[in-house]
Amino acid sequence: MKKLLLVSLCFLCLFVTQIYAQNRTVTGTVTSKDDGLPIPGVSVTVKGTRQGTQTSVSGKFSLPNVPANATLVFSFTGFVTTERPVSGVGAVDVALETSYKELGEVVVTGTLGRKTSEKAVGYNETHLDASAVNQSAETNLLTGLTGKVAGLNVSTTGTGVDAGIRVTLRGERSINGNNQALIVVDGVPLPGGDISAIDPNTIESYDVLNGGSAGVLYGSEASNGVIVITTRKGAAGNKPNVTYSNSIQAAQAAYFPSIQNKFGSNGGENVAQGGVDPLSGLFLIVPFENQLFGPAYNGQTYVLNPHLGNASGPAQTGVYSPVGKNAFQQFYNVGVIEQNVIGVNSGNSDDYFNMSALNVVNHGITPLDASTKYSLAVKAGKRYGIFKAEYNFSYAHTAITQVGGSYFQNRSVPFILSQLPGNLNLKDYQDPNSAIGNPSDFFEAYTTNPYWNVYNARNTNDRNVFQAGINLTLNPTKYLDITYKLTDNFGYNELHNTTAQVNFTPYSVSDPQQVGNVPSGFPTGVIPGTVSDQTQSGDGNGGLGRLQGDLLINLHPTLSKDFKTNLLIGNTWWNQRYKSVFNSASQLLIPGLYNLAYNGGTPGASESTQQINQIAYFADATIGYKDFLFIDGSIRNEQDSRLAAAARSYWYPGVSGSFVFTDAIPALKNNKVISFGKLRAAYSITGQVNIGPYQINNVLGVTGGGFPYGTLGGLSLGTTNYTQLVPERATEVEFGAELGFLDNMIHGSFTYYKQNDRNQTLSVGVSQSTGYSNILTNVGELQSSGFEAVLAVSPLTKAKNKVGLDLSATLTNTESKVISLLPNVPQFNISGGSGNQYAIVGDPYPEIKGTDFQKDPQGHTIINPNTGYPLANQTTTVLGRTSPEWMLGLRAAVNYKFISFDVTAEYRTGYVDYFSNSGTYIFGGNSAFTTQADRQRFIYPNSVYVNSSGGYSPNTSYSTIDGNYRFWQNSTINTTTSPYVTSGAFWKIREANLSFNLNQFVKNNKYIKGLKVSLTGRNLFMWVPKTNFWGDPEVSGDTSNAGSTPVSGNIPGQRVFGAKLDVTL
Amino acid sequence: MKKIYLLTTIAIFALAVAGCKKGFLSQENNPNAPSTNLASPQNVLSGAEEVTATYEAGSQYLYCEYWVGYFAPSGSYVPSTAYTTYNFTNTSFSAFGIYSNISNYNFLLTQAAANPAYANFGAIAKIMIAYDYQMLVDNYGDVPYSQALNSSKYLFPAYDKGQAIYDDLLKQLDAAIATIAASSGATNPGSSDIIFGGNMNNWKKFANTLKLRIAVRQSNLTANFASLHTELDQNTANYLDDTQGAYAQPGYINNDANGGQQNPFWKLWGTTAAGATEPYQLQTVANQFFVNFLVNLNDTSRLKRFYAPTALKTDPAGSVHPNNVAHIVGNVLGAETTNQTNALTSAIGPGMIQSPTQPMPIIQGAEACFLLSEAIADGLITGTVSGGAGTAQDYYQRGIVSSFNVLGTPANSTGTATQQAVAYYSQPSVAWPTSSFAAQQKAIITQKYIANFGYGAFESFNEYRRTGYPLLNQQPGVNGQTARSVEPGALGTGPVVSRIFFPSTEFNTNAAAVGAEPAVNVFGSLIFWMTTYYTR
Repeated sequence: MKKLLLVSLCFLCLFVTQIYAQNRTVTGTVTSKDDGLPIPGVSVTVKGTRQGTQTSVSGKFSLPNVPANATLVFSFTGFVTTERPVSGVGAVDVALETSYKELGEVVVTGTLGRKTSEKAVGYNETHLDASAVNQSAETNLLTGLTGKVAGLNVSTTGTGVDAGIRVTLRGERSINGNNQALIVVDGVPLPGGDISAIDPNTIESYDVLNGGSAGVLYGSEASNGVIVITTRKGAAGNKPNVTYSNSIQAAQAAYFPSIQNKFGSNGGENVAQGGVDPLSGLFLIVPFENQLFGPAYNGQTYVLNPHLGNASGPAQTGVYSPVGKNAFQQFYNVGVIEQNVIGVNSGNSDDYFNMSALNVVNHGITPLDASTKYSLAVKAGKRYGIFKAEYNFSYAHTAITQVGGSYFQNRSVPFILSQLPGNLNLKDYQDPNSAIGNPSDFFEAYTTNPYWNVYNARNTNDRNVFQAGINLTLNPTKYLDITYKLTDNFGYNELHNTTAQVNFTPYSVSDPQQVGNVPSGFPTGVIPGTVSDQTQSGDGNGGLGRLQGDLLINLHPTLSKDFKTNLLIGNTWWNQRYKSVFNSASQLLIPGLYNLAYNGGTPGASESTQQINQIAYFADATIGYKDFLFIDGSIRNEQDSRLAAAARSYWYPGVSGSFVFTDAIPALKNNKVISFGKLRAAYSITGQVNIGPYQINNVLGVTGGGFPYGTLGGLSLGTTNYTQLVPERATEVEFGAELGFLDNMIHGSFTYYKQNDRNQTLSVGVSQSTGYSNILTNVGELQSSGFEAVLAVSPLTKAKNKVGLDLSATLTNTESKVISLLPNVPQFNISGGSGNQYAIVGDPYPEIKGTDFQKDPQGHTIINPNTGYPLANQTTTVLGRTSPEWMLGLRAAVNYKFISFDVTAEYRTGYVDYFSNSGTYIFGGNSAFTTQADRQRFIYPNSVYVNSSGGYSPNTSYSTIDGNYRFWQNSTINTTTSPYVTSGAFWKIREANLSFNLNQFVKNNKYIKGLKVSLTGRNLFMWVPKTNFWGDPEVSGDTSNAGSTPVSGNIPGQRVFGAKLDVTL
Repeated sequence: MKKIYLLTTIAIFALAVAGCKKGFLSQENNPNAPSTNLASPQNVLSGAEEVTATYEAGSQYLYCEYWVGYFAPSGSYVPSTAYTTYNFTNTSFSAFGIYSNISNYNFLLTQAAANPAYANFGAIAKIMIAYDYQMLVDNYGDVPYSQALNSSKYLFPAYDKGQAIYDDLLKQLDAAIATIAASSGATNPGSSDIIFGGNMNNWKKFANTLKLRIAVRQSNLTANFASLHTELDQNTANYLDDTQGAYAQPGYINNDANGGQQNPFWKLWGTTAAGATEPYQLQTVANQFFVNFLVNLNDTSRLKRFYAPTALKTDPAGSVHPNNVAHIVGNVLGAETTNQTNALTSAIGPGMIQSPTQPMPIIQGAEACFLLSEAIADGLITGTVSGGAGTAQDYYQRGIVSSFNVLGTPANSTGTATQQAVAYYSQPSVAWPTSSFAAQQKAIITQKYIANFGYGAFESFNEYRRTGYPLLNQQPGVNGQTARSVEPGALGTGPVVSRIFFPSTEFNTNAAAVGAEPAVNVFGSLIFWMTTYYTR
């Protein structure tokens, strides 16, 4: 095989180069000035021709048929492009300098995979080499972009073994629709798709295109910006190689809600249950309680459970003193993430074969939770004269198992943990069948053993993702390329959730402590097992599968020496489809047999089908003048099946330009102070079809509440009224500058943008008296603006100072304003999240609205003098914006010899977070929030009361009538939204990596061509304001626009650190 | 040759896919749900009636269950402070959800208008729309009516006066009765009518009873008393009574599929088919006020049907309750630190949750009897006096007997349920008062309050607000009992509020219209049929 490949390579070389038979062969070695090590893959071309080659792994090149007076150009990403004349005889050895100086020369990948010089780009674009993104071995490739790109916000939803992410660029455009950036892999959109099948080692670069202008050619899918991922073709230096990398990381639960460690169990039980001392009225220890309003821990030994097993069983005792670690810290394991990747790469960009195999095993911090992924990807291409064919295929299988809810109220593990006292040795309950850990004898009456969930409630998910594509290109002449691409992304996803049967002892069902314990709620003593199954055919990831065809015709005639032109016309069609079948049974007859057929009642069943089709035509023209002035115009027409026939066809135009004034103005050429300067501007109209399929006609649904009853069906009208819709329409204008100073030692960019998204597609809440709860209509406008700034300084370079130091900062400001909604409707309730987020006319988007205490005009809380408790306001109020106004990313990288160290930090501020289910932490008495007054009576801070003349007097005398149970459980503090709304600000050390490039130590090794060892760390530290008692502001509930709401009931945020090995064979 | 082949391949691909699929972009047919033209009136009727039944089960009226003294929060679960302090907001309660079911009945009206064969469906829809609107008016006084359910024309419906809506509801009910009389040949809804199985004569009775309920509710307003008298059918045979109540029965079965196929009241208070106790039964227990109230009236037969005995069969030491009957113990609203856990208190009783397949009451026979009794006593209906039947006293006693029987009261030493009821209403404290209408009204409302336990908390809330009976705040007898929350932070003075706020959804979506309504004081604003804010 290898031989055959080499033979064909030789054949090609001969074919290309035979006309230069008169000239000589030039050889040489290319090294790095920094460390003297050879650089593989450097492009070596003969100036003014298309003739060229690449350096091998050892940095060597050999270029035949070079004319005697020729000049060779050496170029490689990250290094200064260098020219050398072929002077007479001998080898041409070159040492390249690192490249920050070559601003504007970087080749970026734009729309439809087109490569252009950065100079020609008229909008804000960030080009990142793969190494800068994936060095800390993120399991989701895109998470590595956090803190490195201005304008980009990556938020994680959940932190389990199957965490989702939400990627937005330039904030939010659509009030209730999709705001996530489009991911494009090698020119093909992957909406909501799974990029995890891609071997991180095969990724060449990431190009982040912030604005709508970049996406005009992608039409309605790209209005939220595009992240272009480009994978490598072939092997560096034409030499087949095998790469292997292994990464092992540990994940530690680190960012919890603040938990008090001073007071133990009591839930306000009266004398009869031994909760209150009859003489003093003081609260005593109530061992079975899940609320923590008891006395301060005092070290006494007490009875947790009077009788285990039966009425004559032994007592279980415990010690009433904190064990030092809260239930979260005790329960969560150290997770282990292991990644293994093998890549086989051969050939060059015209004729190549790449293959990679990937295995990621993630053992989560929750016991038994794991995800295991295997993927295999093949990609190859071959040129036959003017015709080139490429294909790729990948298959990824991911198996995920996660803990489910409890048998009692389906409670999640974090919720259960939030109700366990600080004096508990949780590890004693690890066996849910043990004498103290089993469901009948667990000492808490109202909470269950979290380890029961671990072993008996499992949610598994098997994902199968196939991606396949062919790409045929024809270059009939030098000025014309015709490409046809056909890609399919499809797969199926199987979800299987089970809970085991629970059997209670008759003794526990009899409620021996007479407290209304959990088992007494199951008079039969048995909770049957349950199973639910769902099969989703689509993209294999819960989304829609996609078949797409693209025709691209690219004309690039050279009209004159000064003008370069490029004309592209094309057609795209795609079909997205999804089908889901769901069924469930909740009364399984046979313990351990999770099969619908063995159920005591009728199983539930439902199904859903979706199809979306689109056809689009587009054209794009670029004119470049003398390499310093560029103008680009594009237009796309699109027809989408989600829209009614009359409203189906839409146009999206865009224009952008750039001007490199340091090249255009002769006086600025070779200026010592200002070394590079580019101005750019872009204007575009893009849009989105923000509705699902079939939302054209009103429908009825099966009436909730039991239908069908035998043969009797029931239908009810839907609560949404559908109207004729058009796509959302986003107009965006942006201006920017890129500047380099002092030989580009300092460089940076600044972009200002403003976008107005009209025709918002909103399911607007309307008065229920209209007969509908919502009307789906085009209405309103959201304006957002802001700036994206990047500053990079390289005060030291390895070549000159032996130590290299690079510092960079990105700053993002996002402002938004809801310009209008439906007339008479001042606000819109955004779907998802906690359900409390709104778009409010005249205000930033989105805002949290909820109940608050009554306030006087100065903002003091009004209390009820009878109780000292704050009074609840009867209407809801705005409690703050929930998207960050400011995001600051900082990076520093130090290089010395073969060692490099880099660190990335991020700061976000200017917003609040609503920790939506934190109520359990207050009424349960577990939060440190409830011990601020040490459980004593206190005067509610900054409070006033209504005095006899109807005015407000400062409250200096009315203490709360209780500072313990009755206040925290029974006053409005527990049910009001505002105590759970807190500043979302945080500083995080996102990444820190220390790597050792050991290439120089293995350069004489026959088998090993490259070796690198790194220590990696992610989310190492976090700092939040003191007012945040509730946890990691970043862990959000879902990926909806309102999902920025974090949820205290989630698995806590984690700190990850480990080691990584990269070997090239 | 090779080139041509390749070019052709590309061209075929490009054309094949983009061009040849006809209807590629059309999605008029929704594979997931039927569009409005595909729905039969049968399916819509059974769906809408079942939603009414579910609404009647009362999950949104839990606050009424607490405030009228039927239930109290469990000592084992944390109650909402809105219930125990009356300190609630406009997000706490909303009855506007009824509109989404009115829209289903309204859709039936459209179908009936388009096809005369569906006249009976239209008549039922009209009756149920009136039923729903009365609930809305009783909650809010003014609500959107004339501009409601017409979203193409009125996206922000204005509010109509409660009195005007009441007046129109009577007319609509007359129209429905007329339609039934004129449509004997029209399609019978049959089994799709889960309330009366297509018996249109019973629908006529239902319509008349509804008119009676509307009339009695505003009978305090002397100005329209005379017109109400002429409006009402004077033949008591045309009303629901103890022989014919209104109950929904779609074929409830004890199965957990499709969200649970049990009776909706059972689904809130009973157990799942798998045997787990439903949350309401765990989180809500007997109210000691109501326990004492029944004990004072010597109503122990029904007490044992309303509440279950405590799980603990003997009293714990030091906790002897003075009125402990068969170990029925309640909690006191707002006494969270002295209330007891579930094992020591009584859950909902066997008379209320008899079976997961029991029919769901819409208007119970007993309630219809008490309505007739009050109407006759008050002179709204003349009443037919022949052999003592059809008098106010007769309906009063029939209502009590019906209640005893519906609860499945078992025989005891006194005799059958009926015999126990007769013995009960024969005692002086319960006997029909002959002294004055005021005394008669007090007796009727008190008995209606007992008979409406659980299923009719909202109706009891309404009747207290209308008449001030029973005396929820100063019940004579043991310990000066009150149904009012004893929580020190409880706001207001009465045991129930005079009304609830308009819901926050209206302020969010229909601000101008709801803003035109007078400001709401929940401890004083009156619905038009109320004359006083009672705190007695």
